[in-house]
Amino acid sequence: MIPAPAGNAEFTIHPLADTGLLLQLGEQTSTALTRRIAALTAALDAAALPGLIDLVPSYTTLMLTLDPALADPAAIAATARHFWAEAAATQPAPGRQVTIPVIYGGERGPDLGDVAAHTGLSSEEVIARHAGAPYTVVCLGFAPGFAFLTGLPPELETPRLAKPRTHVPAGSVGIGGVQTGIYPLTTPGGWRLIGYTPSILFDPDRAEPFLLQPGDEVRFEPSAAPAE
Amino acid sequence: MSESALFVRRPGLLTTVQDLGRPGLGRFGVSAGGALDQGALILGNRLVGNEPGEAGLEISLIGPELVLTGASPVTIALTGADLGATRNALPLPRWESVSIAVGDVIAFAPDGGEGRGARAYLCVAGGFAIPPVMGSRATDLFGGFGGWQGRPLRAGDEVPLRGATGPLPQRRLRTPPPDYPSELIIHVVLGPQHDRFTGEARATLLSATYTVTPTSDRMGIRLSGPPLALTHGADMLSEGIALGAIQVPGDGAPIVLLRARQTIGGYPKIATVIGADLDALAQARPGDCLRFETVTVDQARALSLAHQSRFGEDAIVTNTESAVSDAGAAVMAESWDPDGVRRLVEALATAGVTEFRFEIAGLTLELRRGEGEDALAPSSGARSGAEAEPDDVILAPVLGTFYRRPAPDASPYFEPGAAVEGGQTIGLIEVMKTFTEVTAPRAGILAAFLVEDGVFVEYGQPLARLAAADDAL
Repeated sequence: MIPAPAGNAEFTIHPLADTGLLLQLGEQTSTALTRRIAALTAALDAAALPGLIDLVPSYTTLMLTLDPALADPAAIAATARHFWAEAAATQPAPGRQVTIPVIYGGERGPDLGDVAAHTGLSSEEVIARHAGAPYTVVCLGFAPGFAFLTGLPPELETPRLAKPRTHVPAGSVGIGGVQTGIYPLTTPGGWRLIGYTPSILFDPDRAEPFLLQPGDEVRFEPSAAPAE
Repeated sequence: MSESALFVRRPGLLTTVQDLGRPGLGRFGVSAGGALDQGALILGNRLVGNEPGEAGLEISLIGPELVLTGASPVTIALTGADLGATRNALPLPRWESVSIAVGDVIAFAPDGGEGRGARAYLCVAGGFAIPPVMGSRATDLFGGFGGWQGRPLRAGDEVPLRGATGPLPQRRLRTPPPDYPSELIIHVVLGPQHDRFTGEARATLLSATYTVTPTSDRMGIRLSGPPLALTHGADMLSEGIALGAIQVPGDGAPIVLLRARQTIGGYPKIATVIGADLDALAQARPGDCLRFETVTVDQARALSLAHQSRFGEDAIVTNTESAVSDAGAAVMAESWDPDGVRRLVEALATAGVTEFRFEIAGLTLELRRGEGEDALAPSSGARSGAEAEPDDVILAPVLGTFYRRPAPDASPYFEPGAAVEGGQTIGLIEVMKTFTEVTAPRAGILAAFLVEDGVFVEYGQPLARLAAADDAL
């Protein structure tokens, strides 16, 4: 473990054998921390440091993948501390604003009624509050293009299904505990499905394969079902 | 179209197109993926004159049956584990370039060869005519993209090859290829969450033997062995998962994460496998045993540099004279002169062939490796059809446990000395609860059993001797 120096560049670095570094950048998730990690990720990516081959930000960490033949871990760590201090000084701005249309309820939102029953709200109120809140993309993972969002209004918190579905269609919008999100691929899933979006979260053949990136600000916009 | 392709007759257990993966998309939830044993893929590409990162086929445990279609021969190289590969039913040598002709059949023994190593790599000169997806031809099975239609090969697929490269010099490795021991020592650096485990758990990780379970896949190797106890529970905030991370869910059974792992996850990781040992780890097959030893980060880096140096251009040598290893070509080239036969015998012995029969222009060459002898020796070289059928040895069609009876309390199928018809079942071999019948290849007298009832036999091991019916007492 490389000890953390004093000052606002303070963070701990855990070596991941010879092929990575885990930067422990905070203890508790917050929108400010998410923005700062997104800024650090972007700066390190743009710096194109030799042997730094991948970056995986998450709630409180940034994982760097290294090619041991090319990387200088000490130099990469020093560069990361420099960018981290810079991100603290500049108070990174909010990320891109992305609006995602959602067709709430209906056949593709079969659990909207369950969420309403659990929360004691009407279906209309669930929709209004889900679509009224701003969300931040903390990180992507689980599946390509799957965004972990923070910002679900606490009153919408609803437990996951006791028995996950084996087949959740791509584009489904769900609530699972304190989290909400969109399934980018058809996968198994245990979240309560409250609607779907026609937006394509992940298309490997598109010039920009991913709709979302870490740090993005997301809003859901209620949308009418497309005409038959 | 006369473009060359590999036609898939049988897909095998899991055959995918893989290159060195697509690192750099981790922040979008895409793991780098790619060939699990990268050294084997790189060497395969170098043997056929490709760039080291060209896509090849990753073949897992039980290989496919492939036919070259099109109009021109291609050069291939097979590297990695010995999964029992053949070309037109003759052993296909590994770790060297081989020219194959249109119509040639590349197949793999259904038992998966000698039982060491889990993955073989088939590289083709020029590579596959498959468009890259997000910068790579690697198949991402979870995301369903890349490689061949985002999925494993299926029967009936015709995977196009990029094109003729012209004749290539025969190439082989300068040094002996890796072997794939079934007991491995894997080097790790502790962390990043080793302090969430008990001291006893850390000691156990570094002293116990763990066994690879059959639920292992391209995402990770699941281990059975002493559980590793956590001090603060298994839940933590999700974070990036390193390649080689040893993750421990609540049940305490460790999982070593491989290239097709998810990018982030919320289980504590007690240690990380060093870069140098990832290729060897990828070759661990169910039942293999692992032990873990710690090294420092600096030692890990030195080991990785040494490991990577084995896959450079200078790992390959080009043969200046034609190789003897291609048995068919040797016969054609050498005709029947004594030196040609001697070289053929050497080639067959090297390839592990125990029996060989070749007919051309009314002449038959029949070779058999004698019992108790190391080398193949010519046993007859007579005019076709002039000799009586010799004794036949019935060989194990798969590896597993050999039983002479259909059920534990049943009578044996046959006692020694019994007459059997061709195709009659003389025993069973069990592997992982699946039974394969052992049948007599022809009518004859079951002269003797060569193994005991209930013993473990290897693929190809002689089980019984079958005498010709007219040799009967």
